[in-house]
Amino acid sequence: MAGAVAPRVAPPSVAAGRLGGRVGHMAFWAGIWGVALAALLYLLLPTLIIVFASFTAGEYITFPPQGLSLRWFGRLMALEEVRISAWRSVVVATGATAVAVVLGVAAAFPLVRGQFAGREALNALLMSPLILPSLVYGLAALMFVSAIGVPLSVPVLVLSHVAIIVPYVIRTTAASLALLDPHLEEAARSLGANAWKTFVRVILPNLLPGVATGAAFAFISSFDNLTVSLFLAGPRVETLPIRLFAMINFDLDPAAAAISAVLVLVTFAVVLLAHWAVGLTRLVRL
Amino acid sequence: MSRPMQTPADLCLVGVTRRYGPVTAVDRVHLDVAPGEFLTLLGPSGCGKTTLLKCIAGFLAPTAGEIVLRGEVINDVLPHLRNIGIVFQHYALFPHMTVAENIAFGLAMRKRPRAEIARRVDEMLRLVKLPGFSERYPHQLSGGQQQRVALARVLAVEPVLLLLDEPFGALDKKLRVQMQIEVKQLITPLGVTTIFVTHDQEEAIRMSDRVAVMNAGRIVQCDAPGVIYDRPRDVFVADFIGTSNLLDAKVRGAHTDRLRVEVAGVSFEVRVEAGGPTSGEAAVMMVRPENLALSDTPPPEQPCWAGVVSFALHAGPVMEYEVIVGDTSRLRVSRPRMQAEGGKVWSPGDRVAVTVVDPSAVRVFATHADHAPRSQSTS
Repeated sequence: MAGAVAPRVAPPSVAAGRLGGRVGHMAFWAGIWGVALAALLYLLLPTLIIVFASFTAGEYITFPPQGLSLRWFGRLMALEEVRISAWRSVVVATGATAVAVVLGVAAAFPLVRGQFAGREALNALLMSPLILPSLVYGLAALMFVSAIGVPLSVPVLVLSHVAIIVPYVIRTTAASLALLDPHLEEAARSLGANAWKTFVRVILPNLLPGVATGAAFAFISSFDNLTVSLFLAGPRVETLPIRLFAMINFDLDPAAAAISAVLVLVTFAVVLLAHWAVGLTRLVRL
Repeated sequence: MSRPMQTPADLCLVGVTRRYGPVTAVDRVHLDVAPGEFLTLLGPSGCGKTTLLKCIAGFLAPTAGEIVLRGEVINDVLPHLRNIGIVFQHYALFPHMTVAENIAFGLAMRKRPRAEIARRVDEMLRLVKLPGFSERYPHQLSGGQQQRVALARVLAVEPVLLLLDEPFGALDKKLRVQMQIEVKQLITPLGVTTIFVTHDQEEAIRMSDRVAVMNAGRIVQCDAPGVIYDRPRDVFVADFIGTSNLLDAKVRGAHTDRLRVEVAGVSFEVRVEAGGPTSGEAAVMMVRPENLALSDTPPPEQPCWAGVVSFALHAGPVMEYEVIVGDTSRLRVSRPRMQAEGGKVWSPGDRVAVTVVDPSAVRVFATHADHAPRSQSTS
């Protein structure tokens, strides 16, 4: 029967449509790439400029820099208050991240595996520090701390940072946990592991990518934090962002640009470290 | 439902019930599993078989009833203290551990000495034919290999009871059949009591000593595979196991153990067991497709339907036909292609006579309101 039908020629419109489709396709991708590159440039350019400016040999922040030197970084090292505040920022961010990881991983479990009324509400509540204006939180925390009569100190600063960075750990850990096959836990239990051993030997190793990513975000946002620290640092507990803020207010010399470059560098280093840690665990995953 | 046991049962389920709020997922299940028996829980998805398995494993507490393992009620025993091994559908191998570490896990949890663990891991790898794979990670293995590692991991701890939760569901058909045979060959000599959960009736029939067919939280029938296939207790089992023609029938007369039923205008004499339909009642007659034969002309002195072939299709070893008889009744007929009817093959539109090959293999069920034919077809 099929042989009786005359062979049909593809109508010319098919080829025309094909050409039109190809042009449209290329235009689409050109548009996407164009927008993406523009956005990237817009986001990165100011940061690149300040980093470049920090290498100036001149007396003022200018772009392009007047000659290249590391003299402003050397000056940073010479400034004692900068060294002290940088070290304090590292200590605060490390401490806050450590506490946030413990709390965040613990909180992620009921949020993902639990089945109880108000789970979504609890999730929203735990995420709220991300949404609340941190200025408001800083003021509220300061009033709270003075109301209960605790003097401002490094531990108080650490705890106030924990509150704003713990959502990062919860988010990323919860995301990892949601992807984890619940049967892994059952398999471990049926093989004789109690709940504690199941957590340490089976669940936690598989959550490490999520925890590492969350910890990196948490560390960075604590290290960079200015608004909450302004309220809770107190006069003698200065962090690096506060120092930077003060220096910019005082006189805008290239040392401020150098501090900015250091902040960018630390952020980059932490991201790379997290990436490396995640990559390591990925190696033994699917 | 339960058969007499020579030895005390390894696992007894006594009225096990599990409710989720208003929903009863498992409804008063009674089951005895003999030592070394391979028993299958078979049913459509949502029939409660997985819930029942989780109750046995200890991941869910039954709402009512008792789970008795080797004479001990284990309702309140934590899962890691039950010594029940499970193989999951997606194997649930620990992705961050090597094959050897996976197999060693259960032994390490039992604090066995290192040397013993190493020896046992080697032994298990040889048992599942994966020597030399000890340092691989699960993601470097094929589906069938992961399956074997999962089995080795469970068998390494010598569980009292082995639970297999749809273990072949993730494999393609050919590999599935191969793994069914392999698993069966592996488990049988070990003599470990096994409960196998599947929705695949073919798989259930191939592998089991007994099959417990579940529907809506209850065990409908628990028998040897042959009995389940040949003598289903009700329409649900008849429909779920294998392919069946379920035909509306009228009971025209009843004797002690025989019924005269009329199906699509043709009268049949059928054997029935006690509790069958009575005279005048509407009923359902079950005929397997392989129990029907086709011919060009009606054979003498044999009840037969006259019909028209509506489709014919090659299914490898058999030809499958659908024949329309009367106004609406559709009969599925499958004939082996080699011997039957001298290799004759019919085409759609051919007029044929349909006869029953073995009338003793025909079943008749009373039509209960909850067992209307086709209303609970296989899902």
